[in-house]
Amino acid sequence: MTEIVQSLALGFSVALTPTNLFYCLLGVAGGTLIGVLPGIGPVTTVAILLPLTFGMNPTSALIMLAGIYYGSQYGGSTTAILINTPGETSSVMTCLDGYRMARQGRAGPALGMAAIGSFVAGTASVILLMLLARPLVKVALGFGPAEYFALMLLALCTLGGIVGESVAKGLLMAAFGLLLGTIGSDPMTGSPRFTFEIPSLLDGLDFLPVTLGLFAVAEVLTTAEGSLRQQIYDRPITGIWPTRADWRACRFTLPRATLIGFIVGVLPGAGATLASILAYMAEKRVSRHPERFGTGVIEGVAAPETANNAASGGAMVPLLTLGVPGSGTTAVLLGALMLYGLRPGPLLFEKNPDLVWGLIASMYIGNVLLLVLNLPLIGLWVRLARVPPRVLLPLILIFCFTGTYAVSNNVFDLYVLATFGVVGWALQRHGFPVAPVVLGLILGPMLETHFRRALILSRGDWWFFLDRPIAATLVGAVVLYLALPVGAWAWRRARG
Amino acid sequence: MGAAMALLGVIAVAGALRLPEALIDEGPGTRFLPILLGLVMAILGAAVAFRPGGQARATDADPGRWRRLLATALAIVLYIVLFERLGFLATSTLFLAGLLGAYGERRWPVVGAVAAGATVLTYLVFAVWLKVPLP
Repeated sequence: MTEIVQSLALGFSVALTPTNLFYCLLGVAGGTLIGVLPGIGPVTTVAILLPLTFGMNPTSALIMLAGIYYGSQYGGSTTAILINTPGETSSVMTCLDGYRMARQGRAGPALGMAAIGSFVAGTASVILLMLLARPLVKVALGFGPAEYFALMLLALCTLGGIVGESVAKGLLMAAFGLLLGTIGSDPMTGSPRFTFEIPSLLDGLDFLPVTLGLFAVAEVLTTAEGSLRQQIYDRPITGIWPTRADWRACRFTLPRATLIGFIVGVLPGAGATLASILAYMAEKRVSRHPERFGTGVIEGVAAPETANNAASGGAMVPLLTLGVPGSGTTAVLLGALMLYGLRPGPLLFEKNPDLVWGLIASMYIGNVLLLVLNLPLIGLWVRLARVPPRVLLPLILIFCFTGTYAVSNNVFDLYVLATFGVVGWALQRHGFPVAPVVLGLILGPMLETHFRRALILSRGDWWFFLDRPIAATLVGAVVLYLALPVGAWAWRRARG
Repeated sequence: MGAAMALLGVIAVAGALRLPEALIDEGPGTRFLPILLGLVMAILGAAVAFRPGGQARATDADPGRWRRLLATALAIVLYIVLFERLGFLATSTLFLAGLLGAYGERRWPVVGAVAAGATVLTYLVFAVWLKVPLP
């Protein structure tokens, strides 16, 4: 216990420097600002703002990124409540009751409760992260390539399976991402693969233009198809503070949703979206008046918002301790870390404790800043959300272009951005989830390296993966996970 | 779309087969993963393509739809092609002004202000503050 307190003290000493406080504030504000914009979800927000951290020292950059991560989650809920447009899939549940509350003139308390719930969840999940870090790191230090391979495979499969309309589509996208990851130099032999004589491809596709293309540019193209008009909730927002009745209604919601969110977030592959859905359904189930859900019940806002923030915190656990992302957003964070030359995982805890604990400490600070910042500034965020799409879309594109170029200084990446924008647009039109592609792209080279290393270690013995207990369990989970949908499908066919 | 993915999978396998074969000692070689992934994609792609009910998502059938899409695509391509020739400031301003017009913003002062303002702001953030070299 004292070890944790000492580490935390170290962390705060890093996080409370004026520079890092500033970057934390910048991250939180920037994240909310971009997150508020409709159509821009947390993954896109982090990806868009990532280039701003280029050139900073890794600790400050990471602190700012974490702030962006939290801020964007909050921004998405604002648009969900006010204009019935979820900023991201994790805010979809918030739309149900949140928008209804806004129509009833209760937008203020809805937003307020969302902010407070997010704060509670964020803080609680950081505390849990702190407590879980050491034991998990100890376990992870025993991980060899076989375990890492199995874990990453599980993460990829679960993300592929949960996101989107069908397991097949999700897994197909994950495979696509992995395939994209093979472009470039073979990680172990260095021989070029699929590079088509283009020198820029020797290092593979950069994850940032691909991500921005698949998420932001594709979103722009999809929105441009629509009428570019939007329904805006126009009544003025009064009274942010939830009423006493609201508080009483939510007193168990907050802890319940936090717990659900955190656990879901920790599981690799499951993230904020699933957390918000589960929390909403759980809340509805334990409520005394389940039929009122959907008509503007404050628990209906508190539960998903709390859960998705808790999940964001939870997803940081596997990222920091094991180096395996728990969601699309943490995958981008992983990409960012790799950009700074850092590999998250147990070694990072050992070698750079100031970085990791500084990050954890600044997550506390970030949560406080979010609360302090967002309650008074709600009016500003609302005004931003009302910027007409026809102005917003070109601006988003410019930011994508500039950001991509800023990171790599290579016009080729702009072509990548544009190409994947079109690809992403086509994929979304046909109901294919895009997040697994990014995860596949980022994890692909690592997955392959671990796999091949494991086989080298075992001298070609494929049963190696099942000999080691942890790896075997994980592989078993993957097999089970993949077999279930196939089994269910076959069962349905058999029954006619 | 599923068919497209399946096709991609087949192409990937074909391409991967041309890669060097693995040496015996080093376990699965360069071509292993691409071939595997290509096969997976081909199978899953076919499965998705033959499923009933994989409809393209309907968007509000707005008349200007293709015009806006094409305008956006064209603007993006032009931007990238001209980016290093005309430099960041000129290209960005033109891009913003053009696209705003294509999207239906008719008030010239707004178009000018947003195009110029956003370009300058972005320039200040990236080139001046972050010292990123922009053409």
